Amino acid sequence: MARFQQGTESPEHMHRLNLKTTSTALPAVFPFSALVGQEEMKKALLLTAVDPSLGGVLILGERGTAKSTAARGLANVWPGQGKFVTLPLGATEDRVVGGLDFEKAITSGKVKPEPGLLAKADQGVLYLDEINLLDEHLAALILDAASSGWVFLEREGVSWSYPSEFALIGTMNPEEGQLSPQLLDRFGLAVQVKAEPDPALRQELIRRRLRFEADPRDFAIEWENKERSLALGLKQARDGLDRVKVGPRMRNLAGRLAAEAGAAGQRAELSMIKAARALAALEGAEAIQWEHLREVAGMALLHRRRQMADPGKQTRKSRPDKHYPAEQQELEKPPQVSEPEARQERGTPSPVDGEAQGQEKIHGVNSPFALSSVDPGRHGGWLISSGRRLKRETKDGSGRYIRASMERLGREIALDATFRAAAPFQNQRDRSVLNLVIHSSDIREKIKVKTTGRLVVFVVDGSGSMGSLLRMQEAKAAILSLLAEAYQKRDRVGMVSFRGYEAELLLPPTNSVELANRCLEELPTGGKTPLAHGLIKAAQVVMTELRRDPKLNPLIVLLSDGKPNIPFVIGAEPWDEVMGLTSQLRLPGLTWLVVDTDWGHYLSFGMCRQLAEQLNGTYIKLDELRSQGLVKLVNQGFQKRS
Amino acid sequence: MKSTGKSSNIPLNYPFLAIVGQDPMKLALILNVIDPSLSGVLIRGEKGTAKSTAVRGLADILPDLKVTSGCPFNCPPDPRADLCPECREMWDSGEKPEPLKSKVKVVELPVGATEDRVLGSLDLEEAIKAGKRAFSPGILAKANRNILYVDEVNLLDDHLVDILLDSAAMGLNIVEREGVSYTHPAKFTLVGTMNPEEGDLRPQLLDRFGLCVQVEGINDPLARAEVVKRRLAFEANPKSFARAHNQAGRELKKKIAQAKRILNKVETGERVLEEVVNISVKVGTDGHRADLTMIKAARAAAAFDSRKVVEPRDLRTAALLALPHRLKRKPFEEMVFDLDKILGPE
Repeated sequence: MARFQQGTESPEHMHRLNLKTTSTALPAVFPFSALVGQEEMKKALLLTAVDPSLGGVLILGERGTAKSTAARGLANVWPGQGKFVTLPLGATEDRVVGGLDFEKAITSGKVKPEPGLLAKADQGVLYLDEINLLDEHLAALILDAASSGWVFLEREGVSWSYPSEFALIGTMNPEEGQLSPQLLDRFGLAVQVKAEPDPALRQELIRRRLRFEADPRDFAIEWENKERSLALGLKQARDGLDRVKVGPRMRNLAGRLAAEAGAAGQRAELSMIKAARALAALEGAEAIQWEHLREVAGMALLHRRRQMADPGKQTRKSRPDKHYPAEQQELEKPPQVSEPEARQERGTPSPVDGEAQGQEKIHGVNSPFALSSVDPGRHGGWLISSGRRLKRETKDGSGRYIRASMERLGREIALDATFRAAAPFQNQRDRSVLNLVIHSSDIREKIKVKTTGRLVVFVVDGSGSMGSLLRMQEAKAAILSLLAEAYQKRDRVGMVSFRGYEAELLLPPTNSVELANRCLEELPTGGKTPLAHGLIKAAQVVMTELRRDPKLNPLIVLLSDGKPNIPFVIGAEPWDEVMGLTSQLRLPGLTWLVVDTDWGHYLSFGMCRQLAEQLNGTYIKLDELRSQGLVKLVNQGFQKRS
Repeated sequence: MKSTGKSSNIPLNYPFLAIVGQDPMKLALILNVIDPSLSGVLIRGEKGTAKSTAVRGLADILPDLKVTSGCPFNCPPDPRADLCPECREMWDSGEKPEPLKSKVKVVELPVGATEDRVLGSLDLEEAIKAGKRAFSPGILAKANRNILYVDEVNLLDDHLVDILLDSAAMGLNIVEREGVSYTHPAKFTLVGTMNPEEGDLRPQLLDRFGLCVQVEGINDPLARAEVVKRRLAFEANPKSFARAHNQAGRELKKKIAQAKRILNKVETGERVLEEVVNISVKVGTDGHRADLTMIKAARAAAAFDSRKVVEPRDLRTAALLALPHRLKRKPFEEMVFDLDKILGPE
């Protein structure tokens, strides 16, 4: 086993954020001690500096709250020899775990590894900005190293391993997506940051920032003393860590706190004790006191609570079933119905359904259902952003290159990996013409991945019968709530409407919310019900998209009362025609969701249910939809298949 | 290292000052040039509203840069500045790099660009010919200290946008991919244009653009006629058309250079600071970027007006440019806001 000596093997082209040499080519870092407010975040970072075995800090927060600034600032006061290693978003596998040093192999014929960032971060900090945007494969590699304390590297028949013990510091904006529970649990502490509410502090923050930007070096000198004493304090605390006593009472207490929060596993308890010990060491206390525990409990539990919806609220006792927090919250939350809607529901009997031939109405768009998933950031539930976007390999050469593969499938050639593969054999090959001779067995291909949004096509019944009962408004509100989520993510939404004698593609798949909203507002109703044409049109849209991307897994949401009276083929019986079509509409990968708008009607024909069954789809009534939420149903529709 | 020199046969740009109307857009661009730490402008609007023309024309009226000869990152010939590893090494070894004057470039990032083109990658020629591993700089290297222009930024691949904004925020490009490990300064003025009808930007990304302007087609028939007239004159004879605007261009260039000089001396004052925080709290923006951007934009506006004290009107200007894209709006609300409601009537 070769052991990587720190700092001695860095080739000349290498350059990194080094704790002790940040002044060289890199921009000055805002001093940690000059940060205004954000006490919780600062404390968590300092505790990690005192005891790196705590497992690092996850900083959650809205945009522009100095998350990165604080993390980077920690580098300057970090005690010990470890390095502060930044893992950029665009990193590839070979740089994360390390790979063969092809330069050395070519020049000397020796097979030597080049350690990656994980090895470099040993005894230091591995810093990931926007950790929730990181590729899952890379995240898994980081997790492996974090849990074992080693990186294992196997290349060209030789294996190496490097020690890799680091404190993981990650930042994320929860609005951008969630983090896997495994990765979450890996963080010892988690803190949530918000914009500073105190105007006076806010002004001071601006003042310092402006001064820093005007002359970073002067500013650094101004804060030098504070930084130095902070660094010294951290070092002393780290040295004194072992002397802090941890009594059995405190241990019990930590266990009880964790259990009360419903935190799964032992890690919560351990983190809490360790954090409390670090805090005690920082304060020069001899033993952990209740105060220490109380101060750190929130940080150790925030990301481990079974119900993570609102960190400030008292959490319920843990439940036996393992619902996702998102689902739980939605189930427990009474559906919010805007007032006119509510009145409508309780109000007078509905006017008689009528086919108001030729009469067009445009119904207003009801305010969208208030669903927690619409705005995860502000509703407190930061893991609520449901519906994972799929990150998967692309075939068309688009996306992010993360690693190379030996398999030859005609993808783009990964030259770096190819060179590394060819390098060890250079001494044995004829190099009279070129310095690097590549055989076809050396060729490696790029594996690229891309996160793709989803495609949802709405097929909206615009016939006269929909015009009554304010069904159209209901339907519009439902669509709107889904659109709201598409706004946050990168889903595409398309819309087909059918009324009168034909169906029309009102909105080709788009992620423009402005466009979709306008289209929804102008959606006219009135006339007969050409259901068959609507279904055909929607299927056509989906087929076109599927041709472009066969792995798309689209969803069609049909909102209708299921009473067709205009056939697609002249002379056909409308309902039989629809039933006959269903076998062709069951496209591979396509999911159907049929929303029956004929709710509450005493003459319910159950046609929509029948249609849903024929399409192998999900059937739901509009009023059920309101209580459960379209967004959730759609997400379930997607989850069922993936 | 490859030379970045270009032949001089580049077609002439339509002069920045010959653009009819669109004053907020022009001002936003100018303020960003005066203070690049404003971190960019997002120009939203329909097709054919002179968005691209303005960005391309902007380069012509910018003060020249002092760069290090042969440096692909356009490092300043100044040991105190943030430098690339090579330049740093030169200074450290006592060598004096040769200074060079360079025009500010508008470096375009095409929507279809690949990640390795943007970040830089392994230098293949070096690898194959010499068996050596070297870094081949990408678009972010070229963009250092220049203008990085992304037309239709809303159509850019998500992960490219993430990477771009990451660099922009740090002022650094950290490359850890394809066998290379390299870090170099990447400070650029990011200018993005987009047509909202073709798809939106995530709100998180909107926030990263310092300023945002909404451009609209010109409706006044007289002004429209003027647009056409000028365009035709430019196409008929670009050189003489450009010459006609030369004088004004030079004056603006001087004014910008002057503003850059006094920028750091502009007093913001406690009142202004208070007011800025008030505004942010009142409209409820996320984080602190809005505060800082407003202050900086107000400062740049004062400097552009050759003043060393920020006045209420500067703050007004700044709020108009820094807030619209940061308001907490519901998904379907149009991006409009009433400044008078927030600041009180002028």
